[in-house]
Order: sequence, then C-alpha cells, then structure tokens
Amino acid sequence: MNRNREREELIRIPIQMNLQYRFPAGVHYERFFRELKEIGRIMGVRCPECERVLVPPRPVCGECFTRTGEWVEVGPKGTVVAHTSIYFPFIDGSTGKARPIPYGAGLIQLDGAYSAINHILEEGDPDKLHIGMRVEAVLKEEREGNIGDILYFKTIEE
Amino acid sequence: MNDNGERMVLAGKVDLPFSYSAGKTASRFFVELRDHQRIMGKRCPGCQRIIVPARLFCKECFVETDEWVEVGPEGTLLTFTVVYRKENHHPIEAPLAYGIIRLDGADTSIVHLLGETDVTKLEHGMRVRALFSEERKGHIMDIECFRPV
Repeated sequence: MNRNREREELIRIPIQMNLQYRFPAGVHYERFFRELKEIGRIMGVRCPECERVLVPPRPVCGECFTRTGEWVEVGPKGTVVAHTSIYFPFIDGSTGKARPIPYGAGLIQLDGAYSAINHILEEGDPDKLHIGMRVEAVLKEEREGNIGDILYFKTIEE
Repeated sequence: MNDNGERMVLAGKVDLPFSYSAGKTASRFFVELRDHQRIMGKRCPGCQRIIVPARLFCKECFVETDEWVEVGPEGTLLTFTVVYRKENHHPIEAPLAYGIIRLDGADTSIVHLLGETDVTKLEHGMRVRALFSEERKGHIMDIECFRPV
C-alpha cells in the first residue's frame, strides 16, 4: 500500500440475523405446558415397568422402551444435582436475546422425579452453589405455556 | 389440544448479531459506492478479467488483482428467481425477485435485488440499472436495487 496516500478507510459490515422457528409440542409436552400454564404445576409420567418418573414427560421410557403411563405431579421443590456459573452471554431461545451474566444454571431433580431438568438458578455465585442444595421453582404470574413459565429456581432453607 | 382441536405449537427464535471486517479491497468497493455512487471492479493481470465486486485476488489465476475499473451502472440480467414467501430477512415485501447481473464492463456477475418492477415482467437478458439509496452507509444495500431500463 502506498504510504504517502492518506490511510484508507476500512469498512465493517454489520449483520443482524434473526432466525425464527416453530415446532409442534406433541401430546406429552402439550399437557406438560398446559398444566404448567393453567394450574401452575410441574408434571411427569411414570414408566409402568421401571417405575421411574420422567420429567419432562416422555411418551416412551428410554430404558424400557415401554409406553409411559400415569401422570404424576412433581416438585415444585427439588435438589440441585449439577450446577455451573455462566459468564458467557448465550442466546436465550425464548427471547432471542442474551441473558444478563453472570447467572447460575443447573440440573434440578424435582421431588418425586427420577430425571433432572436443566434450568436457571437464582444463585449464581460458584462459592455458594453446591450439589444437594435445595431449590424451589418460581413461576411467572402470567404464564404462557412454555418453559419460561418457570422463571428460575430459588434457593430454600429446610 | 384446545377447544378448537388445535395442537400446541411452540415458537423460538435466535437473534445473531455479528459483523465482519470487509478488508482493504472490499472496503474501497463500499467507500466508492457510498461516496461516489460508483460500482468498482478490479482487473486480473493474468486473465484480464474485470472482477466485480472488486476482489484482492483472482481465484482463477491466484494472482493479486491490480487496476481499479468502474463498471455499470447498467448491466444485463443473466438470470433471476422470484420469492413469494414472506420472510423477515428480505429487504422488501414478497413477491420480490433476486437477479444475477452482469454489469457493463465486468466479467463476473453480482447478485442483487430487482426492484421497481412487476416480477412477472422480468426476462433473461433484459437491461437493468443500479438505483442508489439516498442514505448510503458503505454496504451492498447502498445499491437499493436494480431496476429495468
């Protein structure tokens, strides 16, 4: 490049990509979200063979390959079985925006459930998070029938 | 299922904001568009083709391009496609058309929006002209569209 010439302007191209998608909830998720929205309770299904309660509910037990049966209410209290503190602003799929950092997230085994669900924790401090800590689901006042109806899991003392 | 027999459909979205550095050659291409409403290509000293938009290298000869050449603003519509589906990433409402345009003086073609026309009247080989935007930002959309001459 000619050093005598004025420094050339460099252009930066901004791009805003907005991806939207829709998917059918299916019978089990539909009931799960409807119960959450209308009654404010978290539901699982029991496998008739191994008796595990699967949350979120599944049509088939992944271990027994058997159709699941009875619907069971679980939670809203549960136990943290794994946790992490997040310092990277991931995109929240329900809003399309990054969630403010830092925040805690974990796998929560709801009381009465076999499987654990992945959700946001009120506690984000890695020094205070621990496996086995007790938490309780905090639900939105005006629920819409999606996983965001559970705002986060608050820490409880028992 | 609700009272109308409709199944629940869940919606999600991902917004991905990002940017990239155009580099020295594309930067001058965009600056020329923005400040002088000129569409610029570069000549390959090997094959002598005028490459538009301007590129630093000729991908056929693997040599650095040298001379800057103004092309267009008129050109020939080589091919096009009509979009009937409305989606938010299109700059205008559907139905709309995108074309591949060989600008006068150029040996490669560019893809751009075909505007100010009835999509049913588009034809291969028709003559089109770049319409520059009023407010130019150093972006390919500084050309608002190509419209039939």
